Amino acid sequence: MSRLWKEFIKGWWKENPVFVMVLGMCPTLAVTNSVQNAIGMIGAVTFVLIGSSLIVSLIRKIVPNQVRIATFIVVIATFVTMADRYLAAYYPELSKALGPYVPLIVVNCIILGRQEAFASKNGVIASLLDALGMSIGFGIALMFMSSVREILGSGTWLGMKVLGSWYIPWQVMILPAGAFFVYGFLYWGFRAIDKAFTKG
Amino acid sequence: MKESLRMIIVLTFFAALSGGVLGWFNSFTEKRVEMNKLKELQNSLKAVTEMDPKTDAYENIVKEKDFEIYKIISGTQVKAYAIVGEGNGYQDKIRLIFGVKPDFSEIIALKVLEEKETPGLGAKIESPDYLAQWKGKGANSKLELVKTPPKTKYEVQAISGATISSTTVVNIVNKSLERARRIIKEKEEGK
Repeated sequence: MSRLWKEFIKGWWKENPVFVMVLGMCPTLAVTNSVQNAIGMIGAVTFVLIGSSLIVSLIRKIVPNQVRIATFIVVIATFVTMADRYLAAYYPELSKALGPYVPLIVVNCIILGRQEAFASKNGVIASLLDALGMSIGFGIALMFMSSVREILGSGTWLGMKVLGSWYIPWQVMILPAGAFFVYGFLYWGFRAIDKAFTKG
Repeated sequence: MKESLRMIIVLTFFAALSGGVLGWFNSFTEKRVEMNKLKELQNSLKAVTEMDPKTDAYENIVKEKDFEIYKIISGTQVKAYAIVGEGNGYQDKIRLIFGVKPDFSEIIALKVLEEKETPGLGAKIESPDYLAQWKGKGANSKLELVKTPPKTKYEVQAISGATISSTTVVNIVNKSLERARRIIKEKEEGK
């Protein structure tokens, strides 16, 4: 039980995919200009990660080693296409805002990385918990990024005004350059806190 | 030999399975996607031509990748034309739709369909203030970009700090108007 719990929570902080493993940078930098986009991306990544971890852990014994990457990509691409079509059908606005970044989840390192490093070597339950934990870690990182960027860049959070009319939006924050600034500072913060805790 | 056969079978099996699943999934999302597109088009037509979706009909006359014309018909009368045009903005394509009176005397309204201009500068082409000035602009002659408040209905005021975006919008309108005028004239003479 404690092992499974460990697999579940490791993605939150200790092996956070964004701030520790530095994977999945493309959505982290590109779609965090608003909280709404980030939530859409988190949902899509969670769906794809859990779905493909489930399938990969189920089929891991029948897939020959030489074609495992190809097979995993087919599985991942299937889930990504489903997520993309679903968004286009039921959330057209969000789908338009996310643009090519939903199809690009196929090449997101977090997903293939988890299949290769975990789901292809572990059972179904452990893989599911690992996928869920990693999605939560990814979600935490994206929520931090998008909250900082939207509040500083537009003065709003999830479209609601949080800073008064005195605030002049710091527009660079919702531009690509702002993504790098915010990521740099958050990465610094995460590392600093992590270091302080491991020492103490 | 046995190993490679297994590779082929496994990969083919999963590829086929994936195709099957996606085909099944597409069968019920496709309709929604089409419906969304249609609804979006109707909303745009309504916004730029004052079309009443209950009583008016619309007809697609020209449909190209970067240029479309819709004829809005109210009863037997042509009520307006809606024209879709696109051009290169500061960062990416700008795509817009605007409505003109059937005699091409005035622009009814303009709406931006797609743009990825700089927030706070070029992206202001989507702001209501900017779009409001398009109402009633002349459509029978070339429009010109000016930096001061417009004096005639053939002048369009640029957004300060966004010369390229403003120029692009005016150029798209000029180019599309000219093309639409020619096509519609040909159609009418053809009758």
